[in-house]
Amino acid sequence: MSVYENIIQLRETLFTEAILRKIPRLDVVIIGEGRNDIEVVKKIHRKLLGETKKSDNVFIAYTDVEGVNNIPSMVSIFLSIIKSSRGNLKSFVTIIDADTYSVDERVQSLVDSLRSRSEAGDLKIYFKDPLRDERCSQVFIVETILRMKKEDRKIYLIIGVNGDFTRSYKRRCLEDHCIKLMNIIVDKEIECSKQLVPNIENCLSHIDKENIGKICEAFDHICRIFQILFEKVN
Amino acid sequence: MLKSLYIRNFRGIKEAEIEELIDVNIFIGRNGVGKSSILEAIYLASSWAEPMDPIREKVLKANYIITRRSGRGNWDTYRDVIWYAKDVKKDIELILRFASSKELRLKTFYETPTLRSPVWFEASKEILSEISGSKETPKILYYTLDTNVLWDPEIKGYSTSVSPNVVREKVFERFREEIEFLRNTIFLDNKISVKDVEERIWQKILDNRLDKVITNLVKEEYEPNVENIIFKPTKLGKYALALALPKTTIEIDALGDGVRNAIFYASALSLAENTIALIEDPEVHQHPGGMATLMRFILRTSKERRLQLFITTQSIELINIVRRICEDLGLRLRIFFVEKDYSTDIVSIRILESIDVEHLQKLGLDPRLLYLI
Repeated sequence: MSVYENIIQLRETLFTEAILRKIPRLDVVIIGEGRNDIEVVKKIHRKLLGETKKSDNVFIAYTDVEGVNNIPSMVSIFLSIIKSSRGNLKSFVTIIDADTYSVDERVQSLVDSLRSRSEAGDLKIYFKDPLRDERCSQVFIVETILRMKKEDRKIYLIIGVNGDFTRSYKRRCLEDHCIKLMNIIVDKEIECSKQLVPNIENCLSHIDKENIGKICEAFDHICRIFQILFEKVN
Repeated sequence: MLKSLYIRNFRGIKEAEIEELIDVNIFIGRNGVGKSSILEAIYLASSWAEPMDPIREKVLKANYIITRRSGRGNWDTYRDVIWYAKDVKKDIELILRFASSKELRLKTFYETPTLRSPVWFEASKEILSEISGSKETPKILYYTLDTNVLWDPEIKGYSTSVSPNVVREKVFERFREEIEFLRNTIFLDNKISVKDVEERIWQKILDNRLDKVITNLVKEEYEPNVENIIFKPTKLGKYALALALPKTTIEIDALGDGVRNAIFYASALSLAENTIALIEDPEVHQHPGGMATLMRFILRTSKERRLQLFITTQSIELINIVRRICEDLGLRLRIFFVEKDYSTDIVSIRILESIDVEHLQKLGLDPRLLYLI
């Protein structure tokens, strides 16, 4: 089996994969804010798997919340998936832009929203305080407990925050990391790096060409998330 | 309204508990997990309140849950198939909790004599103490409403220690509304026969001139030129139900399966009131357009006639159609994902609100594949 076969794109391939290939479970669901984010993360994932040359038997599904650009709606979607899971899903990853916030503010606001929404109804989901990863400051882990009648289920919510904080962009996003990888020189003050990466394909082809060390230098948080996932799920 | 249901030792279900039941309850899940068995369990429980099926001619509910699946034998000859793993030594237990907070504990024993209903109400110690006036804790007896007798499982025979008439009085005192609600429970599957509709249902439909709404349903989706649904004389000297079209009439038997099912389901539902309607896979033979029209009819009728719906389906289109119509009509909907742990045969349920189904689909996660997570 190819090492890539356990990467599932929810919207496009889940149905045929689940039904025809009879995949047994989804271990991890990775949700990006938009399609571009997911394509980049997926490409890095494939690159990492190509490096290790091993099939890890971990089923990772990708999807995005394209068109949903407010935190409350996103939070409702996250809660639906956490509440619907029953043990197969070990981790739930979200990659979000820092935008105009600091990493801590972004993570805390997401967790606060999740908490307030889960306390509002009759949901029994508890989110522990977010723990910053010891190796990457833009990755946080939130232990999530789904309280059930007979037993509790634990899911790790892993939050990766996009943004290059060494630069003075007003809005921080995934493209900050693309610029780093593509060695684009930013010699003027810009609001957001998206305007320098109008076509994500360029970034994707750089990920294809570059070695894993360089990729992980630019996309430190994403590589770290995969490292955590492989450790946690395996 | 039924709020929760507990099932033990019934069909493939060793144990299951379904809570938070609401106006419209949709059951989804893989084949063989017990969706239809949940409907059958409710239908069997309802036979305690009324043993006869309200829409099928001279059909006992207990017999029907056996004959509808295989057609091989009946309660007398083949009933062991409804015991979990055919272990007839363990009683079938059904516990129904209602919105009124009242609880009906029912049991079916293998060894009781064949009665019209094999379902027995557990006359609690509380009821029996009240009757006997004794301070001693009496043993639990089981009471069947239809035959008005008490069963003592210890002696495996009828009990004469307490008067069944007094128990009956107490049961009605406590459960009058619940009995009324349960007794006319209808089970709609694709085995309703033309004969049932012609000989049993349509007469009542005409008495109430509900034929007009059924004709409109047919006109809206299936046969735009239909003028009426009439009884047409046959060569055998009988009458057949037929669609009257501008230039001809077509017997119901000659119609396509989709329109025929729609007429049967709509007719049976139109007669029901303040009870439970169990509907198995209503999407069968339906084009999405037909599905939408039929479900709108079913849901509107359920609201007008105070029916609590329990629907099984394999169709995501049906779920989405029902979600939308329930929103329009102000009906509360829940989707229950049913799954079975095959190492224990314990059935568990994941409860989804309409919004969860919408969110999961937004992510590309088909709710029918929920077992993956």
